[in-house]
Amino acid sequence: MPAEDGILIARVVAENDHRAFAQLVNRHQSKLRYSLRQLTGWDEALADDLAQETFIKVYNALESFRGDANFATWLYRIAYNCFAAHMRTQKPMQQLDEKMLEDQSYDAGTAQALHRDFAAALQQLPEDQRVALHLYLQRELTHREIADIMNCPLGTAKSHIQRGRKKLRSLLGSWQPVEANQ
Amino acid sequence: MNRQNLDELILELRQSEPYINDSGFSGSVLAELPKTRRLPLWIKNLIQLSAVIISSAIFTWQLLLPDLMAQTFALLQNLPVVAAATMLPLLLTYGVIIMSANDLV
Repeated sequence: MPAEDGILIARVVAENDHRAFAQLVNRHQSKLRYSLRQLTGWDEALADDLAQETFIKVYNALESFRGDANFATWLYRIAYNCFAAHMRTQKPMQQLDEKMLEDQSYDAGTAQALHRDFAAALQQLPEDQRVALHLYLQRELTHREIADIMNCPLGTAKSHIQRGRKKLRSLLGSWQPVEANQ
Repeated sequence: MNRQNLDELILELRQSEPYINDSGFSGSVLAELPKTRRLPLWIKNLIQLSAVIISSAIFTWQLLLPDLMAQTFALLQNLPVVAAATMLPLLLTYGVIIMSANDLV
């Protein structure tokens, strides 16, 4: 855990320092919101709502956080629980929210398009595979960390990643590196 | 897509991950934090310590209470004897003083 996270957490726990908590949010908000956008098919509003809910839960549970674990991993565990709880309340998986993608204007072949296409491809995967794959490929977490976050056995986490990877390869079959498109 | 292409894509995704500006996000999180002020840790510790001390005192008191009651009861039972033992020398002394004053001794 970065020393600065530890100092900020100590200030929030000992002194109920809201400014310290704001700094903690600021340090992690971009990556968390990006991750949630990827997991929600780039639904910015939903991702931000889930991120907000995550940080509020983090604030309420901060005293129970043990410094020996990585704060980011703990943060992602809470975010995953929020995301999973949200998914349970949803109707069966929408195939692809076409309206949502139509609303977002971006140039095909750009990095921006790549992130959204990737989010759309992830959206086609089952929830567990989506989360495991994102954490493994983009957040570069270990299998063990992913299993901890998803509260599942190590073998299950590995299996989610392996299967997700296979599906993702077929879903992104037409993708070419950006340099080749420009 | 072959394995190499997927790896390239992932690498590109990692390298081009945009920084999402806060744009009031932290503020909205802070605004949603519980209104009731959470007690600082040292106050919580103090409250816990006080509770432990008070409950220990009550426990000890309860433990000693039967002995204390028994002693008090015994004292009350023997009160006339104790009173007599205390009062008799006082009365005798008083009597001697009175008699001396009246030149009876």
